[in-house]
Amino acid sequence: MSDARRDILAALGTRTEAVGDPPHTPAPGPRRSPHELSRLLARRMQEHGVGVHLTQDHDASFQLLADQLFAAGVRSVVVAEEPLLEAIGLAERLARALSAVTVRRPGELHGDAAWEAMDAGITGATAFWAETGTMVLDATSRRALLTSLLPPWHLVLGEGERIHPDASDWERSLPPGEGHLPLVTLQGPSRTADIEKRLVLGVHGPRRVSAFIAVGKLLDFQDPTSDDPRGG
Amino acid sequence: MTGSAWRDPLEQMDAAVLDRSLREALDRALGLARRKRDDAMEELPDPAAARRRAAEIRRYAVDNLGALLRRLEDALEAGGVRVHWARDAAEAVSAVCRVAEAAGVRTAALSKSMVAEELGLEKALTGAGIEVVQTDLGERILQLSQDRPSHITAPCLHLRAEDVGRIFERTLGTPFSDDPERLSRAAAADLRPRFLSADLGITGVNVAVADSGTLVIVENEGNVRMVTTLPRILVSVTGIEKVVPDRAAALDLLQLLGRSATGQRWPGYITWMPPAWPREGPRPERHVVLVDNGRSRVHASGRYRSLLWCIRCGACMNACPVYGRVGGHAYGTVIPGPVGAALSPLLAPGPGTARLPQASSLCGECANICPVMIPLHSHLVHLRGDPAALGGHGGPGPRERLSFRLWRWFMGGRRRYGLSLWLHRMAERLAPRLVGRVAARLGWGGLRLRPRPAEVPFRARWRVLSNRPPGNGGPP
Repeated sequence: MSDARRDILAALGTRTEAVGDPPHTPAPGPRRSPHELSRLLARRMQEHGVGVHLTQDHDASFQLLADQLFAAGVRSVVVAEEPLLEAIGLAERLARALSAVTVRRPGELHGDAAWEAMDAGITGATAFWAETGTMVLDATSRRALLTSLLPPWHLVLGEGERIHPDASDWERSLPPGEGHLPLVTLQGPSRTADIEKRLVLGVHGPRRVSAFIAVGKLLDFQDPTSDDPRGG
Repeated sequence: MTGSAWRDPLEQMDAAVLDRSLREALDRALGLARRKRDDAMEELPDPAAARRRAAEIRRYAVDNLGALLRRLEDALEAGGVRVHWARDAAEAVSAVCRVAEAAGVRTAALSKSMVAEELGLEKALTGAGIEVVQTDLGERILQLSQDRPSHITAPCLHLRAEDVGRIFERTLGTPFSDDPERLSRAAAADLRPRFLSADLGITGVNVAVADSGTLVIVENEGNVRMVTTLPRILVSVTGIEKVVPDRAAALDLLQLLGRSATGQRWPGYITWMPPAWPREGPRPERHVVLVDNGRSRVHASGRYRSLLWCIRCGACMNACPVYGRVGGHAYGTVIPGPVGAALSPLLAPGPGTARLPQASSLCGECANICPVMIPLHSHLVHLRGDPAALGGHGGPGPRERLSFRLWRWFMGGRRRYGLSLWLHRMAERLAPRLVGRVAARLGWGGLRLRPRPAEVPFRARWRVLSNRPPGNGGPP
């Protein structure tokens, strides 16, 4: 045991176990319907500068995503190796649908120059928090982390079943033993207001973030955001 | 805290208040901060309950600090993270330098960290021959201009866009601009290759979750994500007070951190880094430095322990009328504003910090706005009369002591109080200039208008009024 450790802990007292229980998060507030939750999430995300699309299913999400990549003239895209994206067969379908676009997997990108050449990165989201308009990304894989960080445009696919009212509800829904999850939560594009508190988007991370969330299984749904000029 | 020869902070504030460009920069930056914070807080179903819960969490964590730190250390080490304990800044700096030396580090990317600032880490690593780059935009601007942060969440708040434009023109060779967007892009383009090539990443920590060993880091730019993902060695430096018991507690605090700091519903990015970070792909060699540097002394003080609840949101600075006029540099400490004025003299007692508790109007707005309900104004009042807590420095001077002795004597009885009123009236009538000079010498009268004593004292009027019948101009 180092002298520093011994001295610091001695100065803080002799107790080796915490006394009492940590204060608990209070019971959840009034429940919202899935419809209300998805609309609230979409509204919040739009306010944070995310182009958000609530879709009927993953096929619809794929179609919208491919259309947007095409319309933006994207030439190269990296698709993270994540269960949701693999289940959809996203990389293969994109390669078939957009012949002018080079579709890469993170494992194929070696060196900084290869990553810097990517116009867009696609990942999944493991959860959404409606009240704060937050996306939760699984940070298990370094490759997925880079996919959501280095390209200037980050596209996120998600499922309506993973929309939670807020962070506390999400926390309570996790099975025991999930406390060690590596995660990144994000609100939208990278931003700074360090100069005169004036907002600038896209500093070190992506300047543009788009989300496609399949909510059709939950409700008879029409995308309330499809006509939004900020969408995408 | 500053490591340099001390200058009286109150004298520095006198000078700062006359600095027009500083006033302009502060007005531009702080103008909307309070309203944005209030709007964000009002979105919560019960903001008062959220603050009470956050205060309970911090109280629990700080009261159980030793036990939670042991738990945190166990979780980190079980996951392969090396834990270093540091009693003071020298030990902390030495630990980081040893790690860098052993790994043959030549370049380091540093994300914004108030603890790193407190330790003088950038200077120490540079002295060890390592090229260090600050990656937060505000900190990078300060590094290029060899300046110091003036706010804990907006470090270059004291600079106008045109000031930044001139700094970039001089140091990066970019054409002059006063457009924040163009300036931010220029800085990002300069930093990008440095991120990609850094050997060592250094982060601060916003919250350390004891039960899982997860370090939580908050940001908006993406530089922390770069620093935690790209370098082959990762060192996280944190004050020992940042620990909380579990993730639920961390979420409750983070809910208030973004709202209080910048009026955001939730911080732009939060990186949740458990010991196995990341699980797949090349993993950096990881180290955590737990820094005391006076915190255990504040813990032991009992009375001032709640200062360790602080989550470094900076809301008290945005709300403080003194900070709003003099900015952060005048405090002469790494943490300015109300919490800095109370905490800095305890962390680093000395003549340079002892007068900081005087740097407050005691309006109490800092305590009203604090998300973890630290009674900051109360601490500032107590510290003014507690030289022992300030390491024997500070406390009232001979004039102030004499003033209060006289005041106590005059207030000790009805006749003596009456005598004081009579003396005051006579002095103001016969020698008003002399009264003005005495008031100025005592410190409070120099910039204030003195109220003129009433021709007929209230006590005399009350005697007359109390003899009239009620409803006829008499007492109710």
